[in-house]
Formats: sequence, structure tokens, C-alpha cells
Amino acid sequence: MSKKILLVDNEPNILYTVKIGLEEISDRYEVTGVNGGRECFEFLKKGDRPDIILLDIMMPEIDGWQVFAKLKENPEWREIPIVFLTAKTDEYSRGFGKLSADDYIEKPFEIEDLKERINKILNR
Amino acid sequence: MGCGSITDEPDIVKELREAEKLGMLQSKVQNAYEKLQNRLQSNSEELLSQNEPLTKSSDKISIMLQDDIENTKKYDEPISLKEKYQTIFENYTIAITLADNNERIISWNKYTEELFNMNESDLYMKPVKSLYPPEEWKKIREENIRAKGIKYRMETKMIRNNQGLFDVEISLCVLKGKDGKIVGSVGIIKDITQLKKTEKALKESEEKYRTIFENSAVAITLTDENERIISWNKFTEDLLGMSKDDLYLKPVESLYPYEEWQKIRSQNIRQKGIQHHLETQMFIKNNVLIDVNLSLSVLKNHEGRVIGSIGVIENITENKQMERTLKASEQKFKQLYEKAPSPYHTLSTRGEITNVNEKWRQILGYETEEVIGRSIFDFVAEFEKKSAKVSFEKKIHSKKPYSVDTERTYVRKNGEQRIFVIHDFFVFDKEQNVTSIHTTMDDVTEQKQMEQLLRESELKFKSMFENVNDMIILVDKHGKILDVNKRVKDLLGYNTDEIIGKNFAKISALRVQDTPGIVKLFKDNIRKDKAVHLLELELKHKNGNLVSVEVGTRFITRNNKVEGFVNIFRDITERKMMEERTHQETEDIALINSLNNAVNQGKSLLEIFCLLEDETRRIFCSNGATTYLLSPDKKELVLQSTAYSQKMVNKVRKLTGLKTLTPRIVLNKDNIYTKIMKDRKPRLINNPGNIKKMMMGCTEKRMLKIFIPKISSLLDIHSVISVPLVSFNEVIGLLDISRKDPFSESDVHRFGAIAGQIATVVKKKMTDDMLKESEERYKDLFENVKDLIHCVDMDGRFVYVNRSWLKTLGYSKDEVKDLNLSDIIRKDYIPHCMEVFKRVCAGETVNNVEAVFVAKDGRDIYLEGNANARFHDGKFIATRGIFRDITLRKQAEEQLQGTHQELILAHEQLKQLNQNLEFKVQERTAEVHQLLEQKDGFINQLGHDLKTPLVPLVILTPMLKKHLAGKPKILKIVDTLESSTNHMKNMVDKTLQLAKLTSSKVTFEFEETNLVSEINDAIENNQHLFNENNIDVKNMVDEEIIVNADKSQLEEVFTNLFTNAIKYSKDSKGSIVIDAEKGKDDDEVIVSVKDDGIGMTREQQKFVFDEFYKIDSSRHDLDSSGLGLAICKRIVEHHGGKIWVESPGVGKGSAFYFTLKTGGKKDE
Repeated sequence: MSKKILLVDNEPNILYTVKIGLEEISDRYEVTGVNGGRECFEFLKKGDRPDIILLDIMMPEIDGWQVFAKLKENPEWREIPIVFLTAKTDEYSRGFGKLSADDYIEKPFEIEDLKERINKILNR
Repeated sequence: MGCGSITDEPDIVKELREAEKLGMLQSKVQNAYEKLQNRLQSNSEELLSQNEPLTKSSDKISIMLQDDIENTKKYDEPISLKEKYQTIFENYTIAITLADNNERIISWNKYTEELFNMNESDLYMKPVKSLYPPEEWKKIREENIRAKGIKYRMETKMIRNNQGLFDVEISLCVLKGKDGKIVGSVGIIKDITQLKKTEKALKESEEKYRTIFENSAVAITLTDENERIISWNKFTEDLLGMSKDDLYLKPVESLYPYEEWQKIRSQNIRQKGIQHHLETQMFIKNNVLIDVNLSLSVLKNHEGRVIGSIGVIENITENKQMERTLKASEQKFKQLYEKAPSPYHTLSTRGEITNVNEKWRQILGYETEEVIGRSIFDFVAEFEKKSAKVSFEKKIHSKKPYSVDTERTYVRKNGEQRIFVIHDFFVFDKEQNVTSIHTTMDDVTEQKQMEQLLRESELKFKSMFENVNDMIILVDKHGKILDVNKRVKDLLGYNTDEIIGKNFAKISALRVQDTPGIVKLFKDNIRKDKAVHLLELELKHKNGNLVSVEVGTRFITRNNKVEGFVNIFRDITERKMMEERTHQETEDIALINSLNNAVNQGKSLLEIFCLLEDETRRIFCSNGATTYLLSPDKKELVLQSTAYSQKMVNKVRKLTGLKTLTPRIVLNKDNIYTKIMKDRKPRLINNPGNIKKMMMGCTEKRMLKIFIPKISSLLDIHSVISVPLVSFNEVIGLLDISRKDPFSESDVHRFGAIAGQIATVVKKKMTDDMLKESEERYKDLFENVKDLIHCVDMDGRFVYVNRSWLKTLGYSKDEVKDLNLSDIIRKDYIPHCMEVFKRVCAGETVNNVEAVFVAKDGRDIYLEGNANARFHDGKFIATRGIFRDITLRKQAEEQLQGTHQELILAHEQLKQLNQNLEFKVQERTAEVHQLLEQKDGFINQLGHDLKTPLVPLVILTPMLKKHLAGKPKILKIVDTLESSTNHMKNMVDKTLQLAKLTSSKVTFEFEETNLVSEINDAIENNQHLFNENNIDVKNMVDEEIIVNADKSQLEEVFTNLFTNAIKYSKDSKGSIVIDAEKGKDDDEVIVSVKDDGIGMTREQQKFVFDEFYKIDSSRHDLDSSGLGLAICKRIVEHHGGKIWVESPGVGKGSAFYFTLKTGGKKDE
């Protein structure tokens, strides 16, 4: 059974690359890319429940932390595992991520690396 | 009470018996009980009606009984008798027992069980006897109830199970069968424990009230429902003065005046039921009105209907009367007390003021509220407080109704003390204890003060009489001496008794020639038109001496008749002497003045001596006077002048052929003059022999000595006074006077005194002469000194200027005369100079005065000098200034000052310049810092921004490669792309790493780290690189070295150094040796990484740790970021260490060194 992956980023190249990359590496993934927090919630409200969310932190309007907080507030979405995609690796983002998210991956990452992390969570 | 005792009730017995006969015993018991209750009620009503107005406790009983009545009423409800009985039998709180013929209990009601605290089995067949204590049972037996058939309401005690004895009221009734045989008995038992107690209380109260009742005139009347009197006690008859016939059925209304009756009616007594103590009036016989105190109580039957009333009447006419009288008297007393002319106060036994009257307040100055409740002793003068308290206590306990007069000092509000004579009156209670104290006070302050004044005045006069310095003699009109004071003895030497009684005109103290004067004095005194004068006369002391007195006389009159005289004698001996002395002193002063004048007039010393001698001769009436001065060597006295009458001088000249006798006296040892000079005291010589001897000493010449006796007699010298002239402790000469009559001691004294002053005058004259001489000398000196000297008078005019002054300022002597001091002082110096001038005029010597004068030609003359003032006889004469011309010096100084100023200015400018420079450097540094920070920030931002676009490159390039497998040409292109991507990724990583190390946010986690294993880990991680590049690595580090380091950062250092060594290896092969050794400091380790690569120049070594520096810039090594060594440097520095590189030169390999801190060795 294929796994639904929701990718949230404001960079279309990333959305494209990660989708292509993941779907190329394994036919188990069904990746949906949404542009930013607003589209993320629009998607979720439609009723599709992803198995995992890949969430970029640095986004305009609603940043990754705000999306994260909203997801955790909602009982329906609270349980969806989240992996942060981050360009900044300073102590703050690392510490926060460790505490609250399921995992994080630092940009630029290799697709094998990302796959490993996703599988680790999905196979839990 | 008269109604409380209850005797046998035949009715009830009868009924019981009947019931018994009818076999209705049980219901009869009930009936009997009801009767009993009714009886009780009526009894209590009786009780109530009689006692109500008198006792509260009867109220209580009434309430109690009322409850009973209520209960009884309950049973009046129309229920069947049987039921009624049953209910009552079972529920009434009276125990009812039935006993059989053998006196055993066979039946009882519920309450019985409760009362005796027994249950059914306890009670059934219980012998009645066992319910009583033996002695009570005995009593019951003695009642012989079996024979009598009934015993009604007997008080006894019974035993309650487990609870001991209790008081009961028991009614016993023997039950007999139809045959008349006793079949058993009924016992009605009531717990009267409570009743007993109440009764006891009642009895006590009854006892009390009976006494009152019997002893007071209280009338009690009983009326029927129509308010007619139907019953009364005998007091009523007494009170109203009416007989039984008068009273019986008399309408109550008729006993009262109309308006009083209306008053009573208005009280609504019928509704209230009771009215206590209504004060009203009643008619007694003959229509006399009396005051009464009326208590009314309405009697109601059990249905609540009014059936009558009881009135208790108390005659209070007398009380009323007394009350009125009392009120009036109290009012009167109050009035008297308050308005009494003397102060009153009333005290409690503790001495607290309870009342004071108006006068009291007025005299002591307090308001009532200020004193009430305070201790009276607060108002007693401090010194009397203690004794007042003691006396107060004593008085209170003495039990006397009043106290004897006591003098007491009180203090007014304004602090003034007043003396009172106080009288206390004590008010006693029945036990003769004092309850309060009334005190009346008489203010005797003025009287006391008068007495005191009188006493003092008497004493004063007596003491005056005795102690005045004047002698007082009282004489009667016949001249007989009545009294004399003590001074008489002091002045005249007579005892008082030697004088008193004698005739005044004949006492031996009065000289005969003075008697008429005295008599005239007396007469003048009486004749009022004659001015009274004082008489001066001399009295004879007992020892013969004369005493100068001044006598004044006053006559004493009684009833306008002269009774006698008071003669007051004042001793004026002293005054006389004073007069004489004053005269002498005036003469002496005149002498000194004339001498002084002579000196001031500039007379010569000789002239002065002549004047002196003439005056002395005149004053002392001497034949001659001679003056000598001590020679400068102090060995001789040199004759200055001698004054004898020309006649005598001529005689002596004739005799001796010499004009003067002794021009000089040699002061040898034996000479009497020597002694006088030495003693410095005047000497009186009255002895002719001594005079001769003295005159002999005047000369050394034999010839002259022969003439001495003759000269002596010629000059008529019999008495000589010789005085040394001493001025300021210095003997300057000698003055002697001689005459025929002997000089007295007082003459010597006087002459001595004059001589002292003469000496001063003479000395002054001599000094002046000397001064003049020296002044001349100094003037000469002044003229020739180089310094400028001037003397200026008070007005600033030049009195004197010296030659140098004139020369310097360029004025001529004549020009100076018209100049003023202020003319020559430069304007800006005038205030300063004038201030100095003022100080100098005041007597101060001012040193180091600086001034600038202006010369005639306008030149500034700088001067420095001192100024002082010349005084003569304390009078200011002129200021004197001595100045030095310091113009040249000043000019030099000014030049110097100018140079100095320039120097300071230059210095200031330099300082300013420095400061500006420093400020600029700081500014620049800050700018540079800011730029550096901006650069770091920029790099950081750039790094992060590059990360995201790298994602597609990193992910998509390998994918592309996969899809292009088998197309080598394009694959080559993609390979290049991939390599470039990796390089960029590497660059981004390193850049961010460096940026982070630069930022202040970075934190290191230091821990004790084994160096060798850390290096091994780094080697292992880079092993693939070493392998790929044929590099041989050797780790020579001692295994025991522990350093304090952040492990991951340390590994980064090694990785960078390794990559660096590989990058710059020669010919794609080489070796790396890693080692460590102890540094200069104990806690320092130097780590070295040596390679055999391309090495570097000395110049290159300087920049190798700089960012983006590459040894071979042409070599665009894709793997090199140019940041590796810069990162190493930062990390090492964060560890507190240094990093450096050594290389022998290009192509000769490089050695990188860095230091670390040791982390302490494990075995230590």
C-alpha cells in the first residue's frame, strides 16, 4: 500500500524535486506538494489524511513553526508525523525540532537520506 | 401567706369512699385528681392574689400554676370519662400506684416507672415499704392511714432506683371492699423535688416580706367584679379611718378624687391584669386627701373573666411630704453650696473630687469638668502633698464628724499658690464609715502674705536700725537718751548702757562748743519754716580721739506733740580724709600736667627740672628741692638743678664761695644715696645725724665736708625725703626735698607717687631728645639708599620722599608737595594700594606690598616693599613705605609668562589633536567592527540562502546520471555538473561553519579527551582519502595525553589539516606524521601535523590562516574552499590555544602546530 506524503514548501523547485526524487526512488510513495501553510491546511481540510508531512520552516506568511503548532492543536492532525526540512541548523531550530517534531533533515539533503528518515518513521 | 398550709380534705375522702362503693374507684381516682388540681389552682390563686404586688417569685408561681391550669383545661374537653381517666392515668406526670392488701404494688401508671426508674418486672409485686427509706416508712406507719382511710398530700422521701432519695408528695388512700375490708391502697406520688426547692425559696421570701408587711402600713383591699370593696385587712381600716360598715361594699371609685380615678382608669389595668406602684391620692375619713402608692391586680377566674381586684395601698403622704421637704432642702443646700462665699469641695474617701462650688472654681481657676474625678492632691502644692495625704487618711479614720482647721496650700491653674484654712465635715454611713468629705476653705493667702511681709519688714527695720553705718540716738523731748544702736559703741567706744538714760547734751562725747549747734538744730527741726540742715561736728571717742560726724535730726511726734528726736550721726572721718586726698591728687596731677606741657612745648630738660623743683617746693612747703640724673656709667649722680630761695643760695655762696655745692655724687658703697637708688624706694630722714651723714655723702671734697653742718643749719634742713626716679624699672636719677618741719609718712608716700610720674615725664623728654638726634641720623640714611622711601599722611599727602624716590619717578621736591599718593599709583592698582594704606593706618605692618607707580613721564614703575605706620603717643602720624624698583624684573617675568602661555596653548592644541585622533580611531574601529559583523552576517545569510537551491541539484543530478547511463558524452557533462554541485555544497558548509565560529553564539562542549584516540578516529574517518591519494599516516602521539577539548571540533581541526596535507602533497603521494609534546606551560600540549608536501614560502606562511587564502591561487582545486585553515584557527583559538605553520621552504613540506590545554592526567 502506498504511503501518502504531504510536502509543504514555498519553493516550487523543491516541491518538484522532492516529489520526483521520492517517487523515483520508490513506488510506495504518493507525494503531494503544497505551496506554503495556507495550501497545507486547505489540503488537509479536504479530508485527505497524509501518512507523513515534510514541512519547510522558512516560509513567508505562515512559517513552519506556526503550521506545526496548528497541526498539533487539531486532534485530527495531531498524530501525523512531521519531518522538518530546514536550511538553518543553528541551536535554536535544532533544539526545537528535537523536542517537538518527529525528525528533521538539513538542506541540502540527498534523496536516499530523506527516504531513510521517512521509512524510519513510517515503519515505527 | 396564710393560705399555703393544706389540711385534710373531707370532700375528697367522701368522694373517694363513694367511688369505692360504686366500684368506680379508678374513675374516681381521676375525679379526685381533678379536684386536687382544682384545689391546687385555687390555692395558688389565693397565693397569687395575696402576694402578687409584693413578690416577683409569686409571679413565677403564678406562671407555673397557669401552666397547670392549661393542662387541666385540656382534660375538660368532652371525651368519655373512662378515656379521660385512662389517658390521665397513663400520661399524667404523677405516679399512681395500686397496692394489694399485703402492701405490694400490683398496678401503676407509666410515669411511675419513669419516676422510680424501674421497669415492670421491678415494680410488680414490689413491697411498698421498699420504696421508702426506713425512717420515712416509719413516719407513714405512724400516720395510721389504715384507720383513717386516707392521707392527703404528705411530704416524704422515696427511693429511686439507682438514683437515691427524692422528695415526693404522696397521697394515700385505703381501698376497701364492699364488705369494708381493706383490699389495698392507692398511692398518688408527685415528685416535688423542684417544688421543694421553690418552696424553700418562697419561704425565705415570705419570711422577708412578712416582716415588711407587718411593719409597714400597707392596706390590702379586695373588690368584687363591680369594683366594690368586699374584703380588706386591718391596716385598711387604720389607713382610711373607716369602720367595717363604712368599707363594706363601698365603691372603690368613691375613695379617689375624680381626676385620680380617671388616671387609674387610663392605665387599662383590666387588660394588663396588674399595675404596680401607681402614685395617686385617696380620700380618708373627713374627706382628707392622702398620698398613696397603689398596686392593683385584677382577679380572673379560670375562664379569664374578671371577678374582682386586689389593691395594695401604701400611705406615702409622709414620704411625699418628706420628699418635698428634702427636695427643697436639697435645692437649698445645692444653692448654698454652689453660691457659698467661700470655696467648697466634696471628696470621696479616696480623695477624688466629686463636687466643687462656684467660688472654688473661681479661686482655683478651673472648670467643673476639669476637676471632677481628679484627686484633690493634684491641686495641693508639691511641698504639702505628702503631709496632706497623711493628714487626710488620719482624718478619715478618726471618726470625728469634722476636723480642726488645717492650713493647706493649693495651686491655681495658672500655677499661683494660695493658702487656705480648710475645715472638713465628714458624712458617715450607718456603720460609721466615712462616705464623703465636705471641705470648706478660707482663702488666707493675702493675710498670710501680709503677716509674712510684716514680719519681714519688722525684721528689716530692726536689722536696719542695728546695722546702719550711722549712729542713731533716740532722745526724748527733755534730751534724755532713750535708745542707741550698736554703731555708738563702734564709733565712740561707749557701751549702750553707759549712754542710755543720760542727758544727750551732757554726754562726754559731745564737746561743749558743739552743744549750742545741736540745740539750734533741734529747734530748727521743730520749726517747720526753717530749712533743716545737717550739722558737721566732731565727737570725742572714749579714748579721746576726735571723730568727724555729720548729724541730722528728726523729731518724733505723737498726737501732734513733740515726743522726742531721732539723731542720726554719720561718721565722716573717712570722707574728710577723702576730701584731703582728692585735693592732694588734684595738686599732683596739676604738677604732672605742667611738666608734660613743658615737655610738649619743647622746653629743655633743665627748664623742666626747675619747674619740677619749684612745684615740689610749693606742694610740700619745702625749703628746697634738688634733682640728680644717673650718669650713663651708673656710677655717679649728676646734679641737674637745685632750687632754694635766692636768699639761701646767696648765703651758701657767701659761705663756700661756690655756686652749686655738689655737682656730682659718687655712688660708693657707704653712700646713703647708693642705698636709696638700690632700694628704689623713697626714704624719709628726720634724724639730724642722718641728715648730716647724708649731706656728707654728697661730696668727696674734704673742704666741703667741713662746711656741711653749717650749710645744713643755713638751709634750715631738719627733714629730708629722697626719692629715686624710676621709669619702666629703670632708675634714672634722684629727687630730694627738705624742710624744717618733719615730713610725715603720708608725705613720703605722696612724694614717691609723684616721683614715679615725674620719672616717666623726664624719661620721655630724654628719649625724645635722643630720638630727634637719631631721626636726623636716619634721615640722612634714607636720603642715600637706593630704595624708594616715602612718608604719607592720613590724607595721602607726601610728608617725605627720599632722593631715590624723586629720581626714579622723575619729580622735583616742589612738585611732590602738590602730589597725592593716588596720583602716582597706576589706576588698576589703586584699590589694592588703598586697602593696604587703610590697614597700615590702622597700625598694621604690611610686608611684600606690590604696586605699580607711574613716573612723571608715564613709565610704569614696578615696586615691591613694606609699609608701616608711625605713631606717636598712640596717635597716627604718617605711613612709611620702603619700596624697591622691580620694573626690570617684572619685564623679564612678563616675557617669560608670555612664552609659557604659548607653550600651554601649544600643549592644549596637541592634546586636542590627540583626542580627535583617538576619537577618529575609535570611530573607525567601530565602523570596521560593524563592517566585519555585516560581512559575517552576509556570509551566514548567503550560505543559508544557497542551501535551498542546492536541493534540486543534489537530488536531481544523480537521477539524471542514472537515466543517462549508456550516453557517455552527455554523462560527462552531468558528471561535471555533479562535481560542481558537490564543490558548491562543500563551500556552503565551510562558509557557514566559519561564520558560526565567528559569531558569539557558538558554544563549545569541553571535556577531558584522550588525544590519541581522537586522532585515530579522525584518521579513520578520512581513511578513504588517504587511500585514494597514497598518503601514509603515522600517529606518534603518546597514549596518555588527555586534553580539554570539544571532541567534534577537534576532529574538524584534524580533518581540515589532513585534507590540507593531501591537497598539497607532491606527486600524488606522501606521508603525514602526527605528534604531540609538552609545551612551555605545564598545562599546554603542542600538537604537530607534518607533511612532506609542496611546502610554502615565508610570505605564504603569514597568510595561510586567512579566509579564502590559497597557496596556489592558479590551482582551482574543486575540493578546496580556502576556509579549512581559517576554521582550524578559530577552533584552536576557542580552545585557548595558538596555531601556526612552519615550512623550510617551497617543496620541502610543511608542519602545522597548535596548542591545547591538558585536561589533567588520569593517574594523578
